[in-house]
Amino acid sequence: MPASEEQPVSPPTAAAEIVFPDGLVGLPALVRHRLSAVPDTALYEIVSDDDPAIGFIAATADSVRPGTTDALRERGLVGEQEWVLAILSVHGDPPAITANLAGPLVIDMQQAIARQLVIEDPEFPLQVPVSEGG
Amino acid sequence: MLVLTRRSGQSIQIGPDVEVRVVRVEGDRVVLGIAAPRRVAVVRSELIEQVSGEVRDASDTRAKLRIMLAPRVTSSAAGSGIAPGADGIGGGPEGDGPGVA
Repeated sequence: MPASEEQPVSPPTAAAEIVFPDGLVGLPALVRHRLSAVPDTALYEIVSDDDPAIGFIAATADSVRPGTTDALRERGLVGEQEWVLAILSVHGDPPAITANLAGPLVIDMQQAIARQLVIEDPEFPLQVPVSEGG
Repeated sequence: MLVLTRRSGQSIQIGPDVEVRVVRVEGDRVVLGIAAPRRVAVVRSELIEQVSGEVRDASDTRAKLRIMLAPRVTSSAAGSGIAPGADGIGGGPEGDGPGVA
């Protein structure tokens, strides 16, 4: 898909290789990753090519909390061509799904390059509850 | 590690555009003011550790998450997905995401 000046560039329909030049936070050696969509959902799976045991599921940050991407763009942390994903995790008993807005993934699909931010702001919590509802 | 002694109101300069000022000292707590360009991330060290731990937790709980999401995935034809409150993360890959299919 060709680049657009108005919208971030979409990845290819197959799984896309994404490079995190600085690795993930706390895992700097994990540079090469593979991004793919979880079929029939708005979710994405990212698996490390450097260590396939490391992988996670993510959702767009805006689907977790609308306006997140714009808020980060206003701070100059995200470019117009970049997407923002929030890593999902499971915590507690009974288990509940949470999204990590304190450490979002910023992905430039045109360059196939990404980075993980660390945001020092209570408006971007580490574990945002995400309910399972339709 | 370079160790410097500063008093309240004094500062140090890191490179050409980062200034760290001691605002005040309260017992064993030091209040710092930091002036840095937007491109320079200024965060507490423990937050980095927390984010790193969250990444590992996400990886460790990926299988559990898949199981929890399975009913939603299988019923996605009805437009469902996981949802924060009433707004929902639904919409499928054609939504507001990077569009990986």
